[in-house]
Amino acid sequence: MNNIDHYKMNFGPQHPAAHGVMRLVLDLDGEVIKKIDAHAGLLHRSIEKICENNLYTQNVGYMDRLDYVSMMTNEHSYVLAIEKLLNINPPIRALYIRTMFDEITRLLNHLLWLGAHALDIGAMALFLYCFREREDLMDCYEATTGGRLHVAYYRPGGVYRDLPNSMPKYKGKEFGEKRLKELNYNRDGSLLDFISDFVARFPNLVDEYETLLTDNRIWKQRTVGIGVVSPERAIALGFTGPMLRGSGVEWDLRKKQPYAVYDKLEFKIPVGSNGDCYDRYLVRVAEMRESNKIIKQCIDWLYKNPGPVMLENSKITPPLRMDMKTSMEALIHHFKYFSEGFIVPKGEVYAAIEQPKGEFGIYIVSDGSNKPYRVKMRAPSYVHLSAIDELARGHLIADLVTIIGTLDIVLGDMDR
Amino acid sequence: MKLDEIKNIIDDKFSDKIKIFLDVNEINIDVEKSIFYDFCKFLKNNSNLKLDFLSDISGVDYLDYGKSYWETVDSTSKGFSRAHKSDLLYFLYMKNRFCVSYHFLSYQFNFRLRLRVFVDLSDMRVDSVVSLWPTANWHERELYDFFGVIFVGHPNLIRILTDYGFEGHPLRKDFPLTGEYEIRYDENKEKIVREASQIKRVINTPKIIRKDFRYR
Repeated sequence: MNNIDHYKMNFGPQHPAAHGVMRLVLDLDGEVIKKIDAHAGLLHRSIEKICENNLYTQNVGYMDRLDYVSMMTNEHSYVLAIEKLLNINPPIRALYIRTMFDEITRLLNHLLWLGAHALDIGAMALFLYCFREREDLMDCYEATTGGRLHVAYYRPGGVYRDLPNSMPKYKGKEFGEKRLKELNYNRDGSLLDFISDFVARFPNLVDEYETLLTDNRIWKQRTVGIGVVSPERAIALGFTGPMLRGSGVEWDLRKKQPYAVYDKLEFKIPVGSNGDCYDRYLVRVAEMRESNKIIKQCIDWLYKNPGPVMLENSKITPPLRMDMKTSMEALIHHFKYFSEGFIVPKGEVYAAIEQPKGEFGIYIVSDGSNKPYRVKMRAPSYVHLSAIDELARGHLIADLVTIIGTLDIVLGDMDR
Repeated sequence: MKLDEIKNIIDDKFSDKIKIFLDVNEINIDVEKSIFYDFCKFLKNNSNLKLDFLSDISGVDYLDYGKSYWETVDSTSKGFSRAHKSDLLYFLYMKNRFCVSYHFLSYQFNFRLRLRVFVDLSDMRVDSVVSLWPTANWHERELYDFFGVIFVGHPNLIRILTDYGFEGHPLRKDFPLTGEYEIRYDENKEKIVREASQIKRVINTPKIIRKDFRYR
């Protein structure tokens, strides 16, 4: 019989644990991984090239489609870059709304990550619980913007519209009167009432997830000591976000280089110590609790302080619908804004924010025209996946699934 | 960290080969290709800079920089002065068509820095920085894929994001938006064939450059 040391195996392109279309060519010795050759780009749509040929405002929608699990944070980065170039500051209420939705997005992302990660490793039930909460948060998205995933809500100069005063309700005879009352119990007030109800419930729900996982023997066996990264190595490999904090580096752009109104809010940076999958899990769960606190503070502020949510500068923001009925100027501005767009002054700018997955940066080169000359996205998933070879070497194939899960990659973000 | 502080820190031996300036309040350093690797080494190891984190590498093709599709110069002499003649000075100063820009971050001193190095079609080689920042590996592969920049010393410089067997460098400005080839299934040959793309490009909105003094 021939003695075969190494053999190759394809992981993907269609594999449920790969979280999308990603091909890994594994070099195996028995079941031990010797080398991984990651083939990225199966979802490449050339968004950067498309962006170069669109107006600045048209690109906001493409940002949602990069990382389709943390939509609004991508928009935030893009909008920040344009605002830096234009040298404008949105109204304070818009900044609070952005902060609140950034954190809602972080919850959305971490909930999906937690559910899918647990499902990959074998904890079935958690996926359903996480998606139950995601549904409430998506309703917030929908009530505010009309979209559940691809919302295009942040605009240069503010956010598209103010928070709604009413929540949509469940209707229909098929539910029955009693069930309808249950479903609509927190939907009588405004959106802020709805979110504050959620914020009050959420810490208990996180406790629920933790009882299922944190001290679970199987969960610990599958995650402790898997994919260990030292702090120095994490920095060298370009890790950001929970991947970096899991290794014990206390770095969070929200604290260190604050944008929006993070400098006015109180929250902590959770940090791990061992740099393995289990610590990163703990960091992300702790982050959910911190996000919850931030949302609470934003709601309190938003209740008390009504005001404009968009700059009233018709050269860079669209005029109000109401004005367009009576004002000639507003009609002209509207036409120019949506046909020609606005001119962004010359310059190069890099705007980075703390996306749920890590540092998401947008590099815009402007040549003083109405289209960005070059848009480059710094996608955290791309950087994290590039280290998979190093993380997974010497582990078993089953652990590879854990490691892909802990990287929290989204292929739309990675392949762009 | 301020611009002046960085100017003081940087060695005199580099001073005539680099150009430091602020662009939209961001620190920008243009460095000549000949000393690029040494300068990177200096940035990483200098104890007053400690740029230990490379967040991004991106490329820019300056071929169309400052060119608008729709010339509105004539209206200037006749009417009001909102139209603007495109000036190519920015491009001429650089002389080179491509730029590779590195975005650094220092965890210790909490500041960002952009480093740009310029290359032209005649010599697309740049020194690889994988040995200094391992994260550069995939970024450099991406740049090779999209722009055709060749990184000398890279361990595995192959395409990464485009399709297997792809030709050309898609983010160059002379690469058409619709692509050069299209792929379809040929029923007669009973296989997938690759043909020149038939799609006509439609420009909905022309690129327009106007002088606008309101912002800066």
